[in-house]
Amino acid sequence: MSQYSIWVLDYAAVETFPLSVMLYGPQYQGTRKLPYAYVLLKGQGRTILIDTGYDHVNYGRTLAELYGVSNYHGPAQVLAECGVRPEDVTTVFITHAHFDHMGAMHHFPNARFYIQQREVDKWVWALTLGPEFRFLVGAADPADIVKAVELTQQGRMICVDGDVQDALPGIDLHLAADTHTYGSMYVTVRNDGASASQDVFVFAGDLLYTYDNLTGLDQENPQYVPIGLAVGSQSNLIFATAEMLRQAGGEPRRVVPVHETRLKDVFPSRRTTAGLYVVELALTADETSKVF
Amino acid sequence: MARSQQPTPSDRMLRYVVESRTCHERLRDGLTQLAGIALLMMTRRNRIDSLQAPLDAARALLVPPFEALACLAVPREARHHHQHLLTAADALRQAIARIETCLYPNADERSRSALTRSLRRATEHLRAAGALLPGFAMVDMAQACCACHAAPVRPTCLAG
Repeated sequence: MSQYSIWVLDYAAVETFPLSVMLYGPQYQGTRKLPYAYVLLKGQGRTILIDTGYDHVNYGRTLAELYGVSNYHGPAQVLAECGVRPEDVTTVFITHAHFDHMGAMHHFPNARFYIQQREVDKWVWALTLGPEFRFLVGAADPADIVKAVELTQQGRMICVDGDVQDALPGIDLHLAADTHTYGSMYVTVRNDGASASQDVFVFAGDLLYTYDNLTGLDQENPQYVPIGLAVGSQSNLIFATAEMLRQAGGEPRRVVPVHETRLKDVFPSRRTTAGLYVVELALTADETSKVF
Repeated sequence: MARSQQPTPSDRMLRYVVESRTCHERLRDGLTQLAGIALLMMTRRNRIDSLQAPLDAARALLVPPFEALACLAVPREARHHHQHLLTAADALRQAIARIETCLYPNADERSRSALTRSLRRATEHLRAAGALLPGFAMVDMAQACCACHAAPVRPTCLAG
């Protein structure tokens, strides 16, 4: 019996994204569609998001015109596909501090936000190094940090140190230090509530962009292949990938990369009138399907 | 100077854009640093001694744009834009002073609220400046994962 209903919700996409960024190595081997998405969980009296997406008001035009990001829809419209309003969200787990993962925090007025303390600490350290080191702070938006300051003052931003078991019932947080970012976090949902769960989903943030990071492109001879963008190291990404797969019982489809366009084929899904996908991973007993 | 060599209004505007954009970037970077320090201060209230060095670095980063803003030649069409930058700079000066206050162990919630307001004010004015002219982004998208597919730019070190 599922403790949480779980959906992956598209909110925008890049139609032609280079494979070599999604998967370290294959230069000049074309492009794939890269959906932008976040994860919605409902259950145990809570409504939970993993990441928030970004705010189109601030970045939409630049992203659309310069970088080909299209079909953006805001949280109110995207969440409505599952009967949820932004003000219903009680908890948000921020996997890392890039603008496209925490840039819409202000849309969730009743939520408490969780982020790794290391992500904050090392980011501030990197900021002090000077503009020639700006690769290390990536797509940092000062407005997001100011928002985080306000949330902290209100007691709504919680910085966690490392792994946390049962941050919420059946939900564990894991630090993947010095990988995609300094303090990237992945989220494990033990959806049967058991400590030795047989029903695990791992939400990878940007530690993975595609299932191919778990297997490589040669299905006959699988290997871990890291994503193409790391502030930390490719080694750390590979070991984090192995650990996520271990936690998911060795079942790659249960390690969920939200940027993977094939999610809609692996799990039941529905294309909305806006051309975005709702992907349904699990349903509680009292929840109706949002894809059938 | 020959008449044809005198700067035109568009030349003056172009020069303003080029020079003020550097100021905007430095103010933005300074804001990011100060906000990060404030965040650390509020999440690690019992371990704030180590924040003096980052604060000194942020202050040093902001001195050049503070000075440059005061010396900029501002064409009439850019006054509104320049005013936003000046107000943002003023808010950042206040933020530095308020972080100094908040580093004291007996700093109260009022001081922290004042700091947050300064950071918010700086953010709003930098964002407003960014909305008035192209090229004044709040996020350096060139460093973003989603920007990796942008058209390649010839490195300046190879420019012939």
